[in-house]
Amino acid sequence: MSDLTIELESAEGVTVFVCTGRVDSNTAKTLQSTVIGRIQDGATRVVMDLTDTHYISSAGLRVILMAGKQIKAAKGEFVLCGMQPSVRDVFEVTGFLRLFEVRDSRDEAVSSAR
Amino acid sequence: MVAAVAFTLTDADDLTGLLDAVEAFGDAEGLPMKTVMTLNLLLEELVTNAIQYGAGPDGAKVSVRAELRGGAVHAAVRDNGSAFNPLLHEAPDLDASIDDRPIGGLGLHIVRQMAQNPVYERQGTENVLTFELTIEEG
Repeated sequence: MSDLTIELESAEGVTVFVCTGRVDSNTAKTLQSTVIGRIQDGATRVVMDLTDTHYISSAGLRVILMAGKQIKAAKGEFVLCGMQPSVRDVFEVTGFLRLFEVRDSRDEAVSSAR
Repeated sequence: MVAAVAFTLTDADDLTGLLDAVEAFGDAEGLPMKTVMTLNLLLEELVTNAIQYGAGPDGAKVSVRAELRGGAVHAAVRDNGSAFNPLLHEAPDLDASIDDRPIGGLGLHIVRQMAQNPVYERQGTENVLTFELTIEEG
């Protein structure tokens, strides 16, 4: 439970990060190196699937904001999906729901990011 | 013996142990996942802030206590840093566009928004922040 694993999948030209576990200030470093690394390598159509992520702190939001800024600068698409209620709450109180496109399912998110 | 969390951190790497201890406390008390996640979130934000910015001359020492009383979790975070009231921290502009939102600065905003009845006190050489969380199903 304490670890964060990030699996990468590719679907219709979209890079999907499937995050499982806890995004805290320690594991956010892994998220940052994986996601920001891929964006800097040229991924501009990106989906982050949070179906199996029940916890995110401001350290994780920091990485998501960095990713969002870089993808916007590259004129790409960044879509989040599968948000659990505990994670949605954190997005709500920080105004992040207004900053990012959020879809229920991964299929919808991939279609939207394509 | 009533289940409770009593944990001391001196380094950011200790955080994983704290979050695991809070989850074990939640399991022991049968707390809903949402309450456990919110408790972890508030503790993480307060603890990382204290370790990062508030370390005393001999390094940081942050103690966390949490227990269930009267249908609510009562938590206290105590650190040895210089006097700092996290409840007076400047709020971010939530209406700003993604280009204008600064990276960082959200942790204490989350605490102010989600902690119930938060109280800050300077007690001797320590900052003490207490808050409550009512049990939330979901």
